[in-house]
Amino acid sequence: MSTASLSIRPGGIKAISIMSFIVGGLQVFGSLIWFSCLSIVTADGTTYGPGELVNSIASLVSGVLYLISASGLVKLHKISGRVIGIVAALIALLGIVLRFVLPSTVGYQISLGDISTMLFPLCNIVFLSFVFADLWSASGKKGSLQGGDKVLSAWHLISSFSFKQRMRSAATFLTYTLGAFVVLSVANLIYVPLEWIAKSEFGAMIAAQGTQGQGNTLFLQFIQGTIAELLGVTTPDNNFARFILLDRPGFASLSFLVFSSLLPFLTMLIGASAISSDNQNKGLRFVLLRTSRRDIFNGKLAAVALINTMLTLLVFVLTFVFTALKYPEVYQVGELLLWTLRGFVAMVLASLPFCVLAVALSAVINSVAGSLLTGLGILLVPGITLLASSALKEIRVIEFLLPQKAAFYLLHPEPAYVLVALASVAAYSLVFYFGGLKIFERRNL
Amino acid sequence: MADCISIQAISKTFSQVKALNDVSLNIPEHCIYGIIGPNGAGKTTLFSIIAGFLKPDSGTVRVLGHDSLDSIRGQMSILPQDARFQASVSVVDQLVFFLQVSGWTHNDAWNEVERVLDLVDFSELLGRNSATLSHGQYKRLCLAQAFLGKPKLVILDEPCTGLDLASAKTIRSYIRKLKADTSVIISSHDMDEMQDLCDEVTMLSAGKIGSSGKVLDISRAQRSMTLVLTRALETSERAQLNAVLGIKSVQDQESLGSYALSFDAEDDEHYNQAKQALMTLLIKLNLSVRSMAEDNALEALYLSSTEASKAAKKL
Repeated sequence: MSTASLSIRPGGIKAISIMSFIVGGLQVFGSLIWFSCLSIVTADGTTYGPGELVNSIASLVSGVLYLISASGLVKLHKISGRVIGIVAALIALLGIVLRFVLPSTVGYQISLGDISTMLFPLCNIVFLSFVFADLWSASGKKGSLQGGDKVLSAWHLISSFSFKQRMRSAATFLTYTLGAFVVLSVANLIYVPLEWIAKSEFGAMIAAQGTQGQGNTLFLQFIQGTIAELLGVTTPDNNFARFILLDRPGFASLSFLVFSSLLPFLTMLIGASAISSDNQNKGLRFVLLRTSRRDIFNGKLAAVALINTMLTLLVFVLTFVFTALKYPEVYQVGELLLWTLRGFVAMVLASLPFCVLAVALSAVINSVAGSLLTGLGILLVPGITLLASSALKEIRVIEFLLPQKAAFYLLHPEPAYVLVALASVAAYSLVFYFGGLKIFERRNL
Repeated sequence: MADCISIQAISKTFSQVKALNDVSLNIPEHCIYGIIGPNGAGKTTLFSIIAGFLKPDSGTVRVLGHDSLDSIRGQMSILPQDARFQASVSVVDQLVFFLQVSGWTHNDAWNEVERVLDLVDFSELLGRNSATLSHGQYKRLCLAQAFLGKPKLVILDEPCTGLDLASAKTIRSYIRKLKADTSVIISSHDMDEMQDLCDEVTMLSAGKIGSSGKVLDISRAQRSMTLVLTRALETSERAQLNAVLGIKSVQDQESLGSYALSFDAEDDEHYNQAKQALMTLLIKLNLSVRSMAEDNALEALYLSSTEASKAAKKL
């Protein structure tokens, strides 16, 4: 009997199973509708290229396999759950790639639907292959933790253990798949209508002149200028807005900005239970006698920061791939890659104070619900302040409670702004760190 | 013998409830020390303060000769009553992790985990997830956690509650063996277990230290037995029983023919002589004995202390 059959399902496995059921069902349903439509459309002599056909077949097959995997994961079966789940995800990804590689009749453009079909299989492969690998390994396998003959530092061990534990939770899997999906969807939803309007305005000119002509330039200026207006960050002399939206890949910048406003909330979802969950079930007591509270705090913080960084990486890789595929004629790959890398570093740094705040709250509040709700409440304060500031301008000083705009200014073209943003990130992080740690070291647990 | 724990005048209040009130206690090294007391007496609070989970409002605690717990990390372990293992990670990984954070290498930690799991008869459950364990299996896992790493001080809050007879016997036997290198503090409501295991005990009641002392001394001071006969004693028979040398009193109990006998024998020899005289008299009076059992001295102490505490509260 395998270990898995003796184990209870971790939250993450339940989440993958439910998501497999939903995604698989939608894929099968969508593919069947597509095949029905195909038979009607091809009746008038129109033929579809292999791109569409292969993609639809891949979607149908992977959908069916997802459904089988959903059931297998519930029973924690290695073959019908894990292996078929990974195969389904690989087929789904292959289908997307083949849609671009093989010729298609309608001229395929990546869409919002593709984001979802890329996100889930990617997470599925990573989680089933690595995060939950030990569920199906030999019972009590020696060496499932790290170390050999080395004595490792306590905070490092706590960080690794907490990372493993948190990656196996349903919340992390859902944050990874849904959080990234929401960010890209919001950015896409802002961009797509503008693109549609711009095409109706400049489409004929582009068709006549090609993508190197003036029509394409006008098309881009319209989209990026409108985004700048929509965001309310531009004035004729606002170099910053021009820089991120016009001089740099605008869609990528837009994704970063959307992500930077959502990231604190995602960070709070990941980190607010870091210590409070262990404290709530008193499991923390097993560790408290064996290491210092400082090591526990640092280890948990490192785990949350790592999970947060991986989420940011996922979003930025997808933003890069999506932007490069969708607008190959607009953005140079090299320029896009460099800008995405800078955005990634900026976002990782900007999320640090929020990671520390989340862990600090989890260290000083006993219950998971209490620390999470308090954290989310604090994050909403600047937004509420902004609304209230129309009546009382002085109230805007409360916005400085959190470094909400640090991510924004870390992308600034002028080094002075970047340095100030870095200093504020460091200052807020240190205040939250020492505040949380001092209380945690002195409180009753 | 040096003290492994020295507690001076600690008090702890939780929202106006005084859980511990000016408690002072010295616990010697290499002994099994029992803390007995009714629910809510403050036993768990006392353990939590010794372990550093709770900070006392006033007073000082010295553990293994140190004021700060930072100096003795990994040398003290506890079996907490309500702590839960993580459900998403296998129990063996968690135990190895506990040892690694206290400075063990992975390989040494693994060998130690195998040793303690074998000790609590848990080896067949090695890869199990804690959420799939029965109550008794979970208790054995918690005990394994407490015995991990050969600590110098082990605090066991209700160690054998919920265990089957065989497991409880094994655990008690291991606790006795631990005494050679380790100091053990135990709390339990099972007075037979406490009398069997402990060298010394302290009675804690309503946050205050009551009687305390060596179990042997308490046993000698509290010698009593319950005698159940097939019929009630006649007045003359009762008088003869009362006259036996070493018997202090004969009191009626609730059921007919049942009597509580208390002894005032100075030592074991006198006590045995008193018991022998009692048996001889019972035979002589032709009284049929249904049962005759020595009472638990700690139980008597416990009951008398709690009764006294209740009476004090009423006043």
